[in-house]
Amino acid sequence: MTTSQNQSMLSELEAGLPVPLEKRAYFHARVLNAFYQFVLKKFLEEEKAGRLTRAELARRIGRKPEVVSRLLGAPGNWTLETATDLLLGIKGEELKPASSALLGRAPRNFNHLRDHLPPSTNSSSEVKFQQHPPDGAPQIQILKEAGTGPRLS
Amino acid sequence: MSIHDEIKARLDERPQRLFLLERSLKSDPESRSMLLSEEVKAFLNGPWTHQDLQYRAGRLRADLEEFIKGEEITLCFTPFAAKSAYMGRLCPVQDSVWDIRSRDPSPALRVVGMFAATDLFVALRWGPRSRRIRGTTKPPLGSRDSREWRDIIIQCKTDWRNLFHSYLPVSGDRANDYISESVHVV
Repeated sequence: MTTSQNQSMLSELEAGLPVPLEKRAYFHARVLNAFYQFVLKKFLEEEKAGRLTRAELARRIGRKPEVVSRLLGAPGNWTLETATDLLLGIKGEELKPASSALLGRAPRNFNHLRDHLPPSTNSSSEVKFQQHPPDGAPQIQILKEAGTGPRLS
Repeated sequence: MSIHDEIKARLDERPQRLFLLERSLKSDPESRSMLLSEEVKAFLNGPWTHQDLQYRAGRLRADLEEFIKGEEITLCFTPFAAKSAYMGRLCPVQDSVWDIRSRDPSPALRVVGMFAATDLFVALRWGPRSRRIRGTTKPPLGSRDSREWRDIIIQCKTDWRNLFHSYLPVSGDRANDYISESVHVV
């Protein structure tokens, strides 16, 4: 089996097609990371305000301090139970389900690297990840735009 | 000339050796940047020869995008000390080589690279941590004193020299020299 990443993360959703495995995997990790970031920010707020330490959090949820440090270090194999415990211990809060549509979101145009690179002397090139066509043609599409500044998004 | 000139030259050259990691969703913020070697890009984009690899690539992409989205990053300067940090500095520390850890599912992956500037990471090599993934011949990196770890660090340094010549990666012990905001040393 040979499969590859589509150009647009949402192309199958737009077309009503089955979502490929790598894209479902992407969203699995994305959601896990979002939970982690949400809980970590809650902890950092409390820590910065002097209301909570890792040791105190560990005591509140019946875990060893080193385990709490590990959980706050990276999401790893976090479960809903992990997030629930941490949020209870950090702020006495509970997670509530919410979701939002992926399609139709407004894009953000800021590009971090573009603002740090020197102006292009030639035409600029926009580099995008591209789907492998079945015949194995190159996966990088180069869109030339003459007479404009650098665009690396 | 600065390293930013060199990066611009690398992105403009053909055939290309360095690629910008883009946000999968344009609605996401982008406050840091990551450049990918051909090797890392090829893994993220496929084609993949096994579903395990395909799944792992999707998960890794999301983990790498955490960096460019400007999310909270946990950083460990001491090799072998904090296995749970998002990024860790590798041994020997004077080489200024770092890895990004993508832990789930097993086997965890390590993406090894160096900082070209503040908020700009260059991902040069990758490898599975504990065992081979079906669909790739890459050997696991294994324990911290393994030949595989030594080799990947040497390869990384060689890649850097080939790409950036005399420019040195970011070094030192100040977290904000590597990541300007939302960084936590563990």
